[in-house]
Amino acid sequence: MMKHYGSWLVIMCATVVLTSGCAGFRGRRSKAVGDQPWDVYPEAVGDDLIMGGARFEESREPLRDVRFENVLFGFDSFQVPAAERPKVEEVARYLQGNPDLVVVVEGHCDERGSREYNLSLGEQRALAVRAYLINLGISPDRIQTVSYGKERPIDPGHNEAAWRLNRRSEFVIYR
Amino acid sequence: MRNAGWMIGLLLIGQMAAGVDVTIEKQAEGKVSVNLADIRAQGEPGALFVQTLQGNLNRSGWFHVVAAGAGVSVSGTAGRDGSDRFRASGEVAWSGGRFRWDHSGDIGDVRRQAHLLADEMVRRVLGRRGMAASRIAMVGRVNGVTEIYISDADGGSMFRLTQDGTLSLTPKWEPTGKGLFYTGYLRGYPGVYHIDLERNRRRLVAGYPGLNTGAVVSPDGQHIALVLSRTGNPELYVKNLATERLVRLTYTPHAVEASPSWSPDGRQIVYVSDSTGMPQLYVIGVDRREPRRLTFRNRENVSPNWGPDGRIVHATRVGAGYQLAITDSSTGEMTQITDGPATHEEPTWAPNARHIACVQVENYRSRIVILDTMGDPPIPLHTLSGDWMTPNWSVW
Repeated sequence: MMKHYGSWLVIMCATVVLTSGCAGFRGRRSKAVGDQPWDVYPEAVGDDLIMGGARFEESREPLRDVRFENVLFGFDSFQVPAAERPKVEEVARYLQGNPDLVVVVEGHCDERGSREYNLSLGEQRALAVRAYLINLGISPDRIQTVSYGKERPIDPGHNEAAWRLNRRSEFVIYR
Repeated sequence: MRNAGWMIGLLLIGQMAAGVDVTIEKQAEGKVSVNLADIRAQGEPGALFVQTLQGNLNRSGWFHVVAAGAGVSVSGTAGRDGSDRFRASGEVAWSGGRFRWDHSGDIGDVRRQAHLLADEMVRRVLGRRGMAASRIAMVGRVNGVTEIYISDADGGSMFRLTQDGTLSLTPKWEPTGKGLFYTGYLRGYPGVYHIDLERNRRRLVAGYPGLNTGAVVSPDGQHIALVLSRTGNPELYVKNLATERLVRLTYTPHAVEASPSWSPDGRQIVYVSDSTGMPQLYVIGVDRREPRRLTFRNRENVSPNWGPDGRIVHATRVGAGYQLAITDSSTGEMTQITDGPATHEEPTWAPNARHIACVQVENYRSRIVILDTMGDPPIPLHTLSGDWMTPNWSVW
């Protein structure tokens, strides 16, 4: 019921945008959606992705020596690029082989854009990775997210090379 | 009243919505001159009082302190009153009237007594709301550590509020000024915390799985608007602080929401959503939850702050950086108010609805500056080392 109401609001919102939007914005989406379930995340799963339970940071211990490659993202995008998906698949295999362990997916942004908006965008990136892990068969209650926005760059540079590395998701395994 | 011309002058300047690099002529003109020479300042506390008052009056935008022959004269005494008390009293007189003033307090609180007199003068002489006694919360990154700081509106009396050594972001005053909400990572994830400044207490207000951030209190102090991702996507919520009931306002599975700010009547919230692909401003009713897109010009519009007179100030994308703009909340008409090589972002209205504090970024260093929408030149809030961000001006 709630969800239905929500969809109606989205349609309302879209109508407002389409009828009053200027030509430059109409129909243009820099966050275009693809045809894979994790592309259209989180609509495919919607409210089923609710995160519950205790935060892993408070109830478990991090395994800092278990490292995975960072997943990199395009500018202002939360889609997991096809070339980056093997990195997520590697984490999924590890979690499948270690059923007692859980993961916190971090979301980070480059320095462009407002501080608060980047907190939300970083979270959306972490949630997209989470959605893909769920899609690969990992139980939703084993994956939580943390966004750092643009506050924790790994490359302090102010150029495209640095920005590319900073738009990322990192994995922290907890036991 | 010899100042008959200044009011008209100020109104005209006000219409121009002057920007940082726009020089307004006749700047000192159109201000009421004030003479403080007749205050007998005793000792260091007395001198601090007069010095603070002079700075406050000049920063108010309405007054101009001069050495002799002024439209307004302030007379009286200021100094120690016993061992640990301070007292300043006297009279303010101008061609339109006069009033007696008397301020006393702890000897460590001299600057506050000066702030109160400055605001009283703005109110009694000009019938305007002052801002000298208000405060600014901000984020400071000093030696790589990001904490919340608080200063007076003139940048003085600065102190560090948090010392968690983690990340502390987005401080937002509650309407009474007795406390504030902010996003802290002290438990390893972004949680919304409330700090009670009077009792020196902190509590976790929102620590749901996922993102908890952006909390800002409604004008009646009863609710917070905030951004949570507990359903799998960042969405805008309102939480009742007494009952803890949570109401979800947005349903945008492809988009994120950020940066809520309440309208002065508490019935609407302006926020950022990227549901068209790029971040733009939207307005939503708290009861009738139909979002309305507010901004259409420029590629991005972010960080809105709804002012006490109904005008929304925000950052707008210009070239590679941001500049500030003021947007009318009903018509959506937008006026850019800053320009130049430096980027300006994260604006917050002063309680006088005239001044704006914002972040100015130049050569990758950020500091906080105070802008005047009526044309006075920008002033840095302070000149401490480090990067200074996300100012939030108290409303009381």
